[in-house]
Amino acid sequence: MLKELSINQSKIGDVIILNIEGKLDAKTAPELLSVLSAIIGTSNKIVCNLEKLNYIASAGIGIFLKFLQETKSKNGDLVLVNLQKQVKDVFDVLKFTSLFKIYTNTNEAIKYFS
Amino acid sequence: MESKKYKIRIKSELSELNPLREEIEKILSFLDILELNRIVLAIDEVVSNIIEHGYKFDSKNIIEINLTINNEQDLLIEILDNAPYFNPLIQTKINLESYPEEGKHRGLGLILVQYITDEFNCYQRNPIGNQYILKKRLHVNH
Repeated sequence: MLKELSINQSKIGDVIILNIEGKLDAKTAPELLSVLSAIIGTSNKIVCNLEKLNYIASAGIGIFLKFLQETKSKNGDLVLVNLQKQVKDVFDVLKFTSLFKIYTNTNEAIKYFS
Repeated sequence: MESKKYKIRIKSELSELNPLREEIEKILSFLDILELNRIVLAIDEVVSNIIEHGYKFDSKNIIEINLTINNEQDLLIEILDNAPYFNPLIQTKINLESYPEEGKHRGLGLILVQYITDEFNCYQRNPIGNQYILKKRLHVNH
């Protein structure tokens, strides 16, 4: 059975890059929560590449919002990259798009932290 | 007036969310991707809310989703459960703008439903349960 969500992690300097693929909903969001909870202890500079994220529900948005708040409280940030249009639309509906830095490629997002 | 009706019944399990979304996508495949995604999301949010808050993740229950499409112009979504009465309109009165400052990150689902739909109401069923009614005017290019 195809996994609904997969998260791959890499690091460039002190920046963590998460490639998040599939669908973020009430069922899969706990997995992202778990990954980010583990990261936040070691890094507060997080790039989330959403190029292959096809769907996001409020559970996913809530997690990004939570860790945006947590990273910023530690003088870091959580930025989003390559949002598919239907994913960006959900952020737009909530008027949360302006809360996040959103990039169209990962390299630009990583440069932001340097 | 041409009216098409669809009935879907699912178990109250989060694993049913993805198959439910896929079935709705097939039914509403005539819509453009953004409108389709918003409607799928609205249904997902209500159903997720029922599973988590109505049924407290008890998978032994059923949720019924009924779609009525009139002339490919108006969509009526009825979602039925047998959970204790819940008024979603209380939650949708939350001030979203204060969310980031107040460190909040939950409770966004039903707010999304209210933003996406033209009408969103919940009625108490007799003797137990909720009837959620979502209405949406569709925009179809022919």
